[in-house]
Amino acid sequence: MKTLERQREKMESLGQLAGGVAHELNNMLQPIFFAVDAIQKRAKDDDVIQASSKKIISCTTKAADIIEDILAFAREDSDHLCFINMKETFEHALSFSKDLLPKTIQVSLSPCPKSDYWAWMNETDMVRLLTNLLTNAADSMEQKGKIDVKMDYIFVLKDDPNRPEIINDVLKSGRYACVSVADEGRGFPREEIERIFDPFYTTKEIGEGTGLGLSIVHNILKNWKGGVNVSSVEGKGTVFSLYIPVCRTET
Amino acid sequence: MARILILDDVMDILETMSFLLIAEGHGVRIETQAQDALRSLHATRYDLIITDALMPHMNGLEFLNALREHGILIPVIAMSGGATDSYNEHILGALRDTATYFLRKPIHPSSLCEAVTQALEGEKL
Ligand SMILES: Nc1ncnc2c1ncn2[C@@H]1O[C@H](COP(=O)(O)OP(=O)(O)OP(=O)(O)O)[C@@H](O)[C@H]1O
Ligand SMILES: [Mg+2]
Repeated sequence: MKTLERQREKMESLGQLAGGVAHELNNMLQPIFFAVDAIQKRAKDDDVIQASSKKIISCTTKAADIIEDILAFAREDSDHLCFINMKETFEHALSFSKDLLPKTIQVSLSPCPKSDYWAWMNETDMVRLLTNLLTNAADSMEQKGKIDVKMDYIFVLKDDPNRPEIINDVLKSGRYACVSVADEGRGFPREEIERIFDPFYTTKEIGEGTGLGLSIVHNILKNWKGGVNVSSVEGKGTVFSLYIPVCRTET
Repeated sequence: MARILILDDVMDILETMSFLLIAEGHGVRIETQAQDALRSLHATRYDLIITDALMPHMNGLEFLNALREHGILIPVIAMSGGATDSYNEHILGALRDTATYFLRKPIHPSSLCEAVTQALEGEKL
């Protein structure tokens, strides 16, 4: 498809631009970290200098985190993929991502079926996916409420009319793990679905979100030859579904 | 106290990093060009090298290979602010495997000190 190809090229050049900018900015943040350390050590008894230095460090750290997100978004590291046990990796990544949420958020995981499916991916990205979806869900519920997480295996038949559109658009026929994250948060209208995956699209306050989370999610899944789908009801909640290609091992 | 050579094409990094390492009691030499760094390494004995990964002329991986070819086997801490494209991504991957330590910029001062201490201790073993 022409438009898809054009979109891919656009993302590639955007990725390169982002990578270049991130590299330059990291080189500029580095001296700030080192210099403020020197200042701190030389004025140990000066409260104002100590407090100001802490501010510089925390702001620089935040800036570094934003750059880290931009890099994650820009990266094409399909060469770092390897075969991983789907269930194990998913459960491991989930327990890690869960710990980043406040205690007022309850994450319930439905039992995962069979464990002999393997996926061509990597665990760091899996953590990144879940962390992004879980923090978004928590944000949409103002940090209190329940998030339902599920993992299931499905068989996708191309052009099956009963499947959500993303599947017919993106996924080849075959077996997939479907990870879904459901919240009871603010939800959003249909028009917004088109925008939430755009880089830098955010409805959050400055300093609270950069709008890169979902574009990273989208890129990671593209890299794994999977896909992401979303359904949302305004005022009720949202379900994100991730499709990850899996295969069964011979035993 | 150790003698440390730092190579980076960004002068601001070299200067501020040397404040830190000198405050830690080390002797520091800074270089912005890999060729000059190699020359210094031939002239003087160093205990540790800290090098950037992506620099014009010679990248960190080529520099590391040149060191090994010249029989300079002291520990090397490589650092990088991230890759700009997939070719550079490949260089970073290779450096991660070959250098004693690999650190992502911006490096927190305490992480640098820790890596320096460990790289130097590893040397003594
Ligand atoms: N579960 C959700 N419920 C309601 N809105 C959501 C949900 N997930 C995402 N959104 C909307 O999509 C926007 C983009 O999300 P995305 O994760 O890309 O960026 P962000 O969360 O704003 O910032 P970042 O993830 O970079 O910190 C959000 O600002 C929010 O408006
Ligand atoms: Mg987000």
